[in-house]
Amino acid sequence: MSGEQAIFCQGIAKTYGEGESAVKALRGIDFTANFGEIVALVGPSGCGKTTLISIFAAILSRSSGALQLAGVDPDAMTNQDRTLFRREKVGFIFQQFNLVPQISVVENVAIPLFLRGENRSEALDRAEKLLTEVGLHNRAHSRPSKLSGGQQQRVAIARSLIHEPSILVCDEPTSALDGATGQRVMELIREQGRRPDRIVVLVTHDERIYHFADRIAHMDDGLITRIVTSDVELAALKMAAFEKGKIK
Amino acid sequence: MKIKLKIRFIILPIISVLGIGLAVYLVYKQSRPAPTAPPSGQPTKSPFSNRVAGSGLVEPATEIMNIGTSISGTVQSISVKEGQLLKKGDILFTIDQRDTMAQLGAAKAKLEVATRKVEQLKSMPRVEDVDRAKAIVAQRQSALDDATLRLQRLNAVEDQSAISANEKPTRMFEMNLTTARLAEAQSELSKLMKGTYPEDLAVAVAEAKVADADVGMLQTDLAQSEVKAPIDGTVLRVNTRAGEFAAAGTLREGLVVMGQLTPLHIRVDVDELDAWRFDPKGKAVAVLRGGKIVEFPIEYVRTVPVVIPKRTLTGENSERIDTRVMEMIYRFQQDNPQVLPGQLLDVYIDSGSIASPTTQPAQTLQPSKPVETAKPSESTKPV
Amino acid sequence: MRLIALKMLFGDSAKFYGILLGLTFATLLITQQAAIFVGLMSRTYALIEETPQADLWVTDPTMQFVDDTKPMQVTALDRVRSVTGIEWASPLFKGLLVAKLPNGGRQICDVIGVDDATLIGAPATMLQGKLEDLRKTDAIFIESRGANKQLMQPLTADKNGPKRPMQVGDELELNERRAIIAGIAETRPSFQNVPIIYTTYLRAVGFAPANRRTLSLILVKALPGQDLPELQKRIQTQTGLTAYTPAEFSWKTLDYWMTQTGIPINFGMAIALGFLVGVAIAGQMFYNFTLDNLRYFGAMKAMGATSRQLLNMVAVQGLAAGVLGLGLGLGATALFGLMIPGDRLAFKLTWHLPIISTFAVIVIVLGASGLSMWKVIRLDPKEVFNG
Repeated sequence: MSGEQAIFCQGIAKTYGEGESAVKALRGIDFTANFGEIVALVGPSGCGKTTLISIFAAILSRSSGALQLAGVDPDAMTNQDRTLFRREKVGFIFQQFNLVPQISVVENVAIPLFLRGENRSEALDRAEKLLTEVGLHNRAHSRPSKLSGGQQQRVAIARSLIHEPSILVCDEPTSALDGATGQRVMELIREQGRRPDRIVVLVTHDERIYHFADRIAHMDDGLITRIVTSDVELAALKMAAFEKGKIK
Repeated sequence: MKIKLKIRFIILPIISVLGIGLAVYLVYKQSRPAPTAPPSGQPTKSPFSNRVAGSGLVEPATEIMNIGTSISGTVQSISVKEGQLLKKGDILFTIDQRDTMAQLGAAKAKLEVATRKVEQLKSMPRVEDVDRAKAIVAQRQSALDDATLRLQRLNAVEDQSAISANEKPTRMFEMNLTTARLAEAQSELSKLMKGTYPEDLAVAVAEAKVADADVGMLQTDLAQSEVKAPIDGTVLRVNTRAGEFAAAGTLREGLVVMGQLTPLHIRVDVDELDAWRFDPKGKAVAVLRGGKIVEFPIEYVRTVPVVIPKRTLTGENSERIDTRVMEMIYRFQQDNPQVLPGQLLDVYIDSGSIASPTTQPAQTLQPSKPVETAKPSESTKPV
Repeated sequence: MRLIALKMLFGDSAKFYGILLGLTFATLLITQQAAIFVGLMSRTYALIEETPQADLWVTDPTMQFVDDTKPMQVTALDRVRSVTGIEWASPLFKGLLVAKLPNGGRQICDVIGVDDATLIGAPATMLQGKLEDLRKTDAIFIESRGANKQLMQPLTADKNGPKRPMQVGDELELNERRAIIAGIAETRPSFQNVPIIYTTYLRAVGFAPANRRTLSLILVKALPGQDLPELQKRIQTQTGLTAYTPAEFSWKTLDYWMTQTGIPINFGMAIALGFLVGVAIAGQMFYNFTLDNLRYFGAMKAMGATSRQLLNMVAVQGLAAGVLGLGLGLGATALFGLMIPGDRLAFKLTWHLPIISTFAVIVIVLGASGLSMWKVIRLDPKEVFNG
C-alpha cells in the first residue's frame, strides 16, 4: 500500500435531513493526506469538523463526492464490512475517553482485540505491554475511575493503538484535560501514534496543540478554508503556545 | 479479582444454582405421592373378567328355622345345646305342664259324669218302675171295673124311681173318673215302657263328647309342651332358658334356631339393574371379605322368583330401602366350607356368555360408538 | 466480549443489585404466591392425593367436587364390581358430622368411612396407634391438626381453662353415638380446615343421620394393563355412574373452586403484582443500566463492534441477571416453603411454578433487554464524538 494515499477526498458534501430542514454540514471538501502524517482539523463549533472526522472514521457516509480511505471507499461496502473495516483499520481517541468504568484498565485497552475475537490472555498480554509503553504498567489492573484524566487519556491512546490501525482518529483529545497534561498526551500520541503506515487525524480547537500536526486544515461552514503546512507557521504556532505558558 | 466481583461471579451464581436446586428439590419432595396405607386386608377380587357381583348371606339349606311354641308357658327344661346335631323328633325344650295336668284331671271327671249320664239314660226304663206302673194300671182297672159294676147294677134296677135322683149321676161320674185314671196309669205305663227319650240321650251323648274333647285337647297341650325338632339338623341358636316365659305365636327370632348345615347355601343379592346379565349356568365363587383371600366355588340352586327391596345391613334402620334386588340361592360345593350361616361374602358370577352391556344410560344422547360395540369381543373371553 | 459484558453488569453495584433484587423479588412474589395458591387449591383434593391406591373414583354423575357428596345406592358397589377390568372396588363414606366434645363444645368434622374389610382409604401415616386399631369397638382416628386445634380437651372443668391435645382413648360423641379415639394420623390438610375423622364404613354410616343412600364414593383399582379411559367408559355405560381418574377428579374439584370462588382472582392479582414489580424494578433498572452504558456501547460500536456482538453483550447481561435473579428468587421461595410448617400455610411448589416464573423472568428480561437492544442498535456511533 506504499505510495497509496491514506485519505483521498474530493468534493465531499454531507447533508443532514431532507427538504427545507436540510442542513448542509459539508459543502465540498477536497483533501488528501498521506500515511505517516498527523493532520489537524480545526475550526469553530459547527464548522463541520466532527462530520468530516466521522466520515474519515468510516462511521458516517457522505452525501456526495469521492472518498478513498487507505485505498478503499467505505461507502461501497456493506454496513457489516464497514464495521469490520473500522475494527481493523481505525483507532479512536475520544474527548471523554469513553473507558468502560466497570472493567480494569488493561481490559479496556484490550477491547479492540476482544472485538476481533482474539485470545483473551494474549490480548491482555499485548495490552499490558502497550500500557508499559504509555507508562501505566502499574495501573493496569485499576479501574479507570481511579486514574487521573491524563492517565485515562493515555489508556485511551493505548486502546486506540493496540490493533495497529491505519487511521487514528482523535476527537478533541485534550479538551477534557489541563494544558500541561494535554501537551503530554499529545506528545504521547505523536510518539506512539505516528507510524509510516498510519495517518493521524486530529480534531481540535485547542490552539496549544496545533503544532503537533504536520498540517492544519482550517474549516469553516462546511469547507476547508486554509491548509497550513509551512514549518514557519507551525513554528509560530508552537511559539504562541509557549507564550501562553503551557509548554516548558 | 476483587472480592466484590468474586461475590458476583462465583458466590452469587452458586447461591443461584443452589436456589434452583432447592426449588427442584422442593418440587420433587412435594410431588411425591402420598404414602399408601398398607392394606389391612386383601380386597376381594373377581376371578371372572365378565361377571355379575353381589353380596351373599350364608344360610342353611333349609334356611333358618325359627322354632317357637304353640302353647305359652314357662320353659321347664331345655334339652339341646347350640351346635348340637339333632334327629327329627328329638325334644328341644318343654313348657311347664302342671297347669295343664290339673285341668286335665278336672276334665276327665267331667267326662266320667257325662259318660255315666248317658249310660244311665240308656238303661231306662227300670223294671221296678214298670212293675209299679203296671200295678197302678191293674189297680186303676179294678177301680174301673168296680165303678162299672156299680153303674150296671144301678141301671138294672127296674124302678128307677127307687133310686135317689142323686145316685145315678154319682155313679156315672165315678165310672168316668176311674176310666180316666186308668187311662192315665196306662199312658204312664206306656211312657215308662218306651224308656228314655232319644233327644235326651242325644244331648247327654253330646255332652259326653264335649267332655271327651276337652280331655283330648288338654292331652294335646300336654304333648305340645314338649317341642321337638321338625327336621334332622343343627341347633344354631338357643334363645330361651329354663324358667323364661315362652309366648306362643310368631317371634322375630325363634326360641330355638335350627337349620340343616350340609349343604350350606348362600343367598346372593344382585341389583335388579344387573339382573338381566345374571346367568344361572355361569360359574360362581363366594369370596371371604378381609384378611386372606379365600374363594369358595358355589353352584346355582334356584332363583327367588320375586324381586325384593334390598335391606341395608347397618342393623340400625330397617326402613332404609334404596333399591331392589334379585335373590339367588347357591350351594357351596365344598362339604365343609369355613363359613357360618349369617356370614356376608362377596359373590362373583361369571356372565361370560352374556354380552357386555351395550345399552346406553337413558340420558346419554350420543349413539353408541364403535369402541363400545367392539368391547364385548374382548370382554367375553373366557377366564 | 461476553466476559466484558458480564463485568459491566456486575461492576455497577447499585444497578446490579437493583436488577437482581427486582428479579429476585419478582420471582419470589410470583412463585411464592402461585405456590400458596396451588397449595391452597390442592387442599381441595387432598383426599384424592391421600388415597393413591385408587386408579378410578366412581361417583354420582352430578357430583361437582370431592366434598360434594351425592351418595349412591348401596348396590352401586356391587354393580361397579360387576364391571370387567376391575381388580377391586372399595366403598368410601364421606360426610360432615357434628362431633360433641367432652366439654360440651360442638365441632363439625369431616368423617371418612373406609371399607370395613380392607381399610382401604385409611390414613397412611399413623402418629399414634396402628391401622388395625380401627377395627376396635367404636374406634375412630383423628388427624393431628384437629387433635391439636379444634378438638382440644380442657384439662379442668373450666371450659376456657388450659387445654391439652386430644389423645388416644379420649371419647367423642357423633350424633349421640360414642366414638373412641384409637389413633392419631397425619394427613394433608383439607381445604375446609375441619378436623378429619376416619372410621370404618359401616360405623360411619351408623354415625351419620339416617339417609337412604350412604355410599359417597367408590374407589376402583383397575386390573394391571387396563386401558383406563376404556374402563371409565365401561363403568359409565354399565352402571350409569361417573368414573374419574384421580387427576380428572382433582381437576374437577379444582375447577369447581376456581370458578365458584374469588380465590383465583385474589391470587392472580398478587401474581400480576409480582410480575409488575419485576417489570417496574428489574426491567426499568436494566433498561437504565443499558442507557448508562450506551456511550460505551457507542464507543465500541465505533471501534468496530458488530451489532451482533453488541446484542450478544446485552443478551449475556440479561441472561446473567435473569438466571441469578431467578435462582435467588426460587431459592428464597423454596426456603420459605421449607421453613413454614406445612399445615399452617398452604404451600405447594409444583414443577409448573418454576417454569412459570422462569417464563415471567424471561418476559421481563426480554422486554427490558429488547428495549435496550433496540436502543443499542439504533445508536449512531457518530454521537461518541464530542460526547
